Amino acid sequence: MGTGAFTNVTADRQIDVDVRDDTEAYLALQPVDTSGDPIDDPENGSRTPLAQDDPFALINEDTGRLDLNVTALNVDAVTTIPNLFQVSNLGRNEVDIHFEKSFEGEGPGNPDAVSFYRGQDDPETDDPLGDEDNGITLGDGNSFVVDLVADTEGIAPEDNIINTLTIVGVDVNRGDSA
Amino acid sequence: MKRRTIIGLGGSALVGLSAVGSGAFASVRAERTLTVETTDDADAYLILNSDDPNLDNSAYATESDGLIEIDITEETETGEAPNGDAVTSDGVNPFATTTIEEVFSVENQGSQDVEVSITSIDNEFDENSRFQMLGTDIPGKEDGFRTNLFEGTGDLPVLSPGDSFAAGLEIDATGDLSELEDLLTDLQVTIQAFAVSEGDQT
Repeated sequence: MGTGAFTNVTADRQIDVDVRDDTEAYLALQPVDTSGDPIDDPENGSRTPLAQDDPFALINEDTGRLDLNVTALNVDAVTTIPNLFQVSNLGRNEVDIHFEKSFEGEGPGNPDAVSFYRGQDDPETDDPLGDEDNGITLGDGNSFVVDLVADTEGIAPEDNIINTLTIVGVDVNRGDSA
Repeated sequence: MKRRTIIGLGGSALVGLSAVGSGAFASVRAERTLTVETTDDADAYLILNSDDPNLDNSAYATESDGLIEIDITEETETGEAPNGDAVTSDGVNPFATTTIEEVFSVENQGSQDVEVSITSIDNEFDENSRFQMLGTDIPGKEDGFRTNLFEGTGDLPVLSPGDSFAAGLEIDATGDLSELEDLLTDLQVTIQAFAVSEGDQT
């Protein structure tokens, strides 16, 4: 019975790693219309209010990423933008999802002026989507629409507010953070 | 003035999707650009224009730090006399009800139809108080139509994107004047615009 000694073997195996744009990734991020349904042409963007040049949400043609624009808020006002975008779990496991807000630039910004809610939540009674302790669990194949609520009390027109939203999804069985 | 703007109407349940991803993932962390900016009342989603040349009484409204303010006192300059002297308001007449239409304009620069009303978040006044706000020059209404703007009253203006109306005010100075003065000093009015969805317009 030969045991087959060998000094070395080189075996090439193929591994395919594709990067999809945000609308098709495992954690999919999609611009939606006023009813909360994903739009057909996400690179063209969702609805554009008269007061700003860019749509509320679009998939950047060059980066494949979701870009969000809310650029004409009244000062000293509470503004709700419902149906800003949709988050979908296109993987095969249940995931915990939470949001992180940050501003990088001159000064601290005012990221706390902006809150996010699921479309079915009521900002008067429900908590906003927050950090790891206040995220939500999303089953595979499920999705939710995100509303933005901004409270600009005490923020002047030239003040910085926020420039990055990080959406984090972690397998519920993994336990540690991303 | 503080106000609440709702650019669209929410309400969406969890939706089932067919999974097209090829596998499980342990974690995803996606940083995305979110640009959020405020702008003056004159350029925002809900424009409050204190300087509208089409309005007869915009001299009573000014903008300060991006916020609109209304000032009806003895110092308010409302015009210029033939000799070049400033003409000033004398405030409202005592023992009379004064109506001043067309003080500032309200314009919808959002993406959906909105119904505009006012309220008092501190409950300083309501629809029966001696201070009221009025809407005129409302799209779709006949000339001379005038409505109370307090929430839940009258026939509130509905503005499509790009539409505007004129806001004015009415002050009842027929009763106790010191009580009225207490009410009007530093009075905060909240202007709110709620999206009306199609078929939900009453």
